[in-house]
Parts: sequence; C-alpha cells; structure tokens
Amino acid sequence: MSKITRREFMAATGMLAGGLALSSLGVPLGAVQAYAGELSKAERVKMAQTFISTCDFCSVSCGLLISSDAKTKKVINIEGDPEHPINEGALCAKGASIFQESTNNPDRLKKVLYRAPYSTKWETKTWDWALDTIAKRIKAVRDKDFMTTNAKGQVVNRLESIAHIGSSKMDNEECWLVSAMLRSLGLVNIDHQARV
Amino acid sequence: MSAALTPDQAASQVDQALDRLQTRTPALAQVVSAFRGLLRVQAEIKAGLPALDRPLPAPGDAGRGPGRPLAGVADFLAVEDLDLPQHLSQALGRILPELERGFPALAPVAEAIRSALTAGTLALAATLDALLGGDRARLEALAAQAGVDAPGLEFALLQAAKPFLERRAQALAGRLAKGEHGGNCPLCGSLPELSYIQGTAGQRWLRCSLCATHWRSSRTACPVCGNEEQAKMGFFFVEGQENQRVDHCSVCGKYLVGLDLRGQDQDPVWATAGLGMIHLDLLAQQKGFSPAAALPWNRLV
Repeated sequence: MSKITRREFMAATGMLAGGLALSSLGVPLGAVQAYAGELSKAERVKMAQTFISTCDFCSVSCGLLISSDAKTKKVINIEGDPEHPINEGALCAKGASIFQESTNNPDRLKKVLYRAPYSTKWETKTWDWALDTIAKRIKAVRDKDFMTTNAKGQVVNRLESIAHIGSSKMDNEECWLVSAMLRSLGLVNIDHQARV
Repeated sequence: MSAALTPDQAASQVDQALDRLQTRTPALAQVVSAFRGLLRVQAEIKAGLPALDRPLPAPGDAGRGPGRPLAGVADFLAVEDLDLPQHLSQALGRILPELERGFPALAPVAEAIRSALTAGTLALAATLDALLGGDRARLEALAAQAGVDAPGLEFALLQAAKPFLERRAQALAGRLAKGEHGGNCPLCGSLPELSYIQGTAGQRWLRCSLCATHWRSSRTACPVCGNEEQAKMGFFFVEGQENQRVDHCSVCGKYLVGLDLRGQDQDPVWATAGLGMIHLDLLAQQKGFSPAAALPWNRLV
C-alpha cells in the first residue's frame, strides 16, 4: 500500500457497473421493458418543468418553485424554494395556497359575481356593469358625505363613510397607486389585509 | 442506520424491502431476483465490519481544499482495524456465488477469480486502488496477470468492496462540513445514484453512487454539470407514482432518479431504493438521457 498516492475518487464514477449492460449479464429485462412501454402507451409518463419564481402575495417576496406540465402547460405544483434566502422553502398560509389560484382550481372565479344588499343570491354581471356601478356608488357617497371641515372648523377634506381594505395580493407599486387614489377621494380609513 | 444492525437483521431488512418493491411493481420481479442475493450479502458484510474510523491525515494535504472531496483513494484504503486484502478475498468468496446465481453471464469470470485467488495471482488491494483511481492501464495489467476478464473483474471487485467503502465513508462522514454541497459527493467526489426531497422545506439530498454518503444539494441546479438554466432542465414521473421522479438536463444529457420522501413515515432501505426505479431508468434512457452515474442496474439500453 506504500505506493498509493492521494487521489480523488472522481475517476471511479462511471465505472461502478464495470462497463457491463444488465442484459449482457444474463438478466432478463423483457418484463421491465414491457412495463415501461405500457406506461408510455397509456400516457402515464408526465413530462414537466420547474421554474423559479416569486410569491406575489406580499412584498416579502418569498421564493417559489413552480412546476408545470410540459404538454398542457398547466401548473401542477407550487412550493417554497428551499434555496431562497428569505423563506428557505417555507411559505405562509397565503403563499402555500397559491396553487389554488392556478387554472387547475375548478372554483376559480372567471366572471363577476354580484350580491345585492340583503340578497342571498349571487348574480353574474359584466365587468362594465361592475365598474360603472362601483364608480356611481362611490361618487354618490362621496358627494353626500365629503367633509371639508371638522366640528372645530378646521380644514380636513376627508371622507369617513367609505373604508378600504387592501389586498395582500397587491405588490408595493399597486399599493402606492391604490393609496394615492383613495387619498384623492379623501379616505382616511385605509387598512391592509396583509397586516391582519 | 444499517451500522446498528446485526448482519442477519441487515440482510432481512434488504429482503423485506425487495419484497415490498416486487409487490408494488411486479414487472421488476426478475431484476429483483437477480440482485437479491448480492444486496443481501453486501448488507451482511457491511453490518459485520469494524468501525474503520482511522482519522484522516492532518488538513492541508494535497487533494483537499474548497470544492474538493474530503477524502482520496489513500484515505479510504488506509485502515488500521482491517486487513483489507484478506477482507476483500473473503468478501469475494461470499459475493461470487451470488453473482453466479443472479448474473449467469458472470459465471466464467467468477470461476477465473476463484482460480486467481487460489493461485495467489490476483493483487486485490492494488486492483481496487487502480479501479478507484481510474488507472485503467494498471487495472487491465493486473487483470491480465490474474488471467481474469478486466470488465468482469471490475464489476465483481467493486461489488465486493462496496460494503467496505460504505462503512469507511460512514466513519469519515462526520468530518464533512454541514450545509449545501454541489453535485459531487463531498467525501469521495463521485456522482450521485439518486436524489431525494425531504423535510417541510423540501430540501434535496443526494446519495453517493460509490460510498453511499448523503449530502444536501441544490433543488434547481443539475448535479452533474451545474447548469441552473431551468428551461434546459426538466423532470418526469409516472401518473399515480408521484413520489418517484427523474430529473434530466439537456445541457449535459444526464438524468438522476429521485424520491419525494415528504409524508413518508420512514426512510427507504437505501441499498434497494435505486433498483426500484429501473423502469424510470429505462424511460429516461429511451428519451436519450444517460445516467448521472453508471450502476449495476442502470445500464439498460
């Protein structure tokens, strides 16, 4: 053993089978080949890809690994990225449920649903109707309740009868835009769901 | 861990794992039957080995450093509590009958090795050293001197030495730095035989094809070439068997079988885990990929 010099094991990689194919060793492979063929024929072999992405729920921006079916392009799995320095694979309840927002969710909303005050039923509406109605109602409330001064006569220019709860779906830039719009209407009751 | 098992318990554990594997995928029955004896005996030999915990030479030796494997050939083979040539001879004595039973084409090789051992013409430690060091010319010369077919000798000797290498790796693995390593074994430098995802964070771990060391590696990089471009990598799985998968890379053309152990109560019996996925090996090779590391059961096409 004295002549042995320190070498790395890299060279052994690839030699573990001694260069011998299993079939050449006398092992019958017919059943395995037939099984693999059946799996392919039945289209049970699903090709997929994983992409690195970022959770869009909040500005923490946790890392995600999003896998999609290579054929249908549909998302088949979303999980935290274990190598991401912020979340190290973990996700909050909202991030962990992000898969439910994908097109695989049969309950995902695809149309505007409206429930009138005191109604127990949802009605399908168009986007035009929804946006016009929201604008009209906001304007009506603002016209009615906008306060230029408070009880002491101090200038306040505010609207207390409308509140806004922001969505943790919004990113920082969207939050700024919405906040600016709400301030322009005079809203002071502004909160954010991510804080809840 | 198998080190805590008696030889009988280790063999029984392998047997039970192979039974489960065969029940789960009956198409693998013939392959399982071919490997059963070999894997059983390897488990027995490994469980019967002493600690092999002679420390490595002091840090600073050539061969070690950032990004380099911790141990070299000399580190693995320099053991104080085992007569290595004698051990290899005894291990071959137990392995050869199983090779003859499971792999009929190896019968002439097994007979030639027996004759060489009897005649004293097979230098086992030197042959293993040449094999591990990748010194093919020396290996072929030693095989010719012993009158044994070189590829057959490689196969048989590696199978006989594998329990020793794995046991020795267990003794050395405590010196590995914690954390993430690349695609090559941080202990011996070999490529992985399989990957597995485990824990709530979904970390990927790799198992060495040579010394069976386990190490943490990136989920998003190819373990063979280090490619991180996701569009050039992919994976596939069989519908209904989502806990098994094959990751592949179009940059290097290699693939690696893997397990998702999340939600599993216990680890698999590692010695049999790769064998249970040879239908995935076959599918990957039919798609034009080659295995990250060649194993006795994954040279299929």
